[in-house]
Amino acid sequence: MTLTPEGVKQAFAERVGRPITDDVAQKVADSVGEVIDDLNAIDPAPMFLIEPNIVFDASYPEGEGSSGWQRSGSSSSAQSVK
Amino acid sequence: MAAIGELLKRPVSEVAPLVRSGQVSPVELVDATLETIERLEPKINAHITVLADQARLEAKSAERSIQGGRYLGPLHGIPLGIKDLLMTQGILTTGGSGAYADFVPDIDATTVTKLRQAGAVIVGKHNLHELGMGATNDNFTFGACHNPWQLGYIPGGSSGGTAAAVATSGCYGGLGTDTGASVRMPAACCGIVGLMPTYGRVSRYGCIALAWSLDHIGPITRTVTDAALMLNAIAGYDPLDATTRNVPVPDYTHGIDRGIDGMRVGIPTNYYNEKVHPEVAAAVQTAVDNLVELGAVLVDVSLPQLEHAFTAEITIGFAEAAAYHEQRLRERPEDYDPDVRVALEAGEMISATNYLKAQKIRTLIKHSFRMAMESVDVIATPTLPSPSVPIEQEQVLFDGQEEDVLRTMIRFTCPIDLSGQPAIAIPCGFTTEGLPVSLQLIGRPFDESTICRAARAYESATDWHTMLPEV
Repeated sequence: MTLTPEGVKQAFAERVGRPITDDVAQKVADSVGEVIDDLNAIDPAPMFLIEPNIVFDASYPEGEGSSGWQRSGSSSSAQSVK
Repeated sequence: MAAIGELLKRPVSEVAPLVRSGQVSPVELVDATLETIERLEPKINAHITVLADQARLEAKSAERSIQGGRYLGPLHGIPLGIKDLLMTQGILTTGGSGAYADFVPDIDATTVTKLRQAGAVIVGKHNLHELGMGATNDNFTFGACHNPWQLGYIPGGSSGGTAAAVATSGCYGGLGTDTGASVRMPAACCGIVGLMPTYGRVSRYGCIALAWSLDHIGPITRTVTDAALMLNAIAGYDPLDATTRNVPVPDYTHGIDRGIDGMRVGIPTNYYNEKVHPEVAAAVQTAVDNLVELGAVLVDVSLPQLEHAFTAEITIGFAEAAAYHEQRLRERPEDYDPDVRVALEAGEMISATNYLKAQKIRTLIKHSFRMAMESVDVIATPTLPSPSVPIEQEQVLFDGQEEDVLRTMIRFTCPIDLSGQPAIAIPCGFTTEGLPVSLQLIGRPFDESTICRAARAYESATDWHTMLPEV
């Protein structure tokens, strides 16, 4: 595991500037250590040309009816599944 | 006309015409709603603040306006509720946290302003998992909220109070927030409807943030049409929230009953079929079969990279939450739930490179959905891999393997918070234990209309939405 309770306590002292208890350090190491390990285990190759992006791709059709589905279908079969 | 108690169980779409015509007074609705809340609160604990006096005044005002010919629309005079993460001017807004237990904002959140402009009467501020940061709604400061279907079970989180209140007629609808699941999960656990709009469709101004780039605000209601009515009221560009998009807002009820003949429904061939409770899988399969009977065409879709969604979600969510709460956490750490505090402290340990890698994974997930959506109109999945769990339970068992409750409960929803697309959760059955099961429909960005139409078609062909808990 990347993070140990001791590592968490040291990082807190250096980065955050306040102490944390042994119990909290253990829980923090348990919770975020696994996540960071998972993150580091992901193959970085597919991400080489990827930029962090929370905006929708400009080519992504957006808006009402953007799926192209505009037909007004019958609901005559609706009752059969009731 | 039905008795007032019966009217509380009807959807807004049926009650609003009665309010408009004067057959039912907003005062009657609000009084009956407040009586329901008072009766059920000892069992459900869905509220942090009940706004009885203010709601009665607002109801009288609405009654006068309607009698005077100034009808504002289908939410006018309708009792609604708000997750206590959304700021309300002059009214305590706790975020479900001891750290905000004395916070009285001097603004309304934009969504609250818009509901008020639509004439809605706000009857209460709902209990939640502290700061929106969890799945159980077992609130450290304000007590656990209970699932109205099985009181020993979680209502889902973090908008659990909102879902429990809506399911038990403590309001006709409510506003929740969704960062990893928190509109759809509680809706699923409580057997009702939860709609997460596209990121950028609804302003988040005035919401105590959990994670800026993941937070969405959406309606929790008993029917799809009611969700559409609430979205009509809250959607749109807001100069106070730079992430909102200045794109047209349609009437989401327009064409909602047209059916789905010919609609292409994507069925994931990976991820969403792994580690699923067998009764959930069976109920969702039946729902998909129903969609086919209604005219839908099924298309297999592949969603690569989703196996990394939880890791990206937690990395981004914890880091952004730690940044948002940094100052208050340092000033009064003892006021936080110990578990929430650990999560916030954990966020301090995430490096910039960790965060940016997670955002890169997010881009890959968005691309994955984009490719899938090129061949379909919506994607259908279970909302949750498991029904609700007992309040004290910490692990869920799948094929002999334990999984943390939080991971289980957000596994199928958090990919959509990362991609930012709209998604709706609708009830599709019950387990043999009597716990609700939910179907999730995912749409294209800013195309909430299509998921509402598909959800409404399914709803109109089934009875699940008419089943409400007897508490």
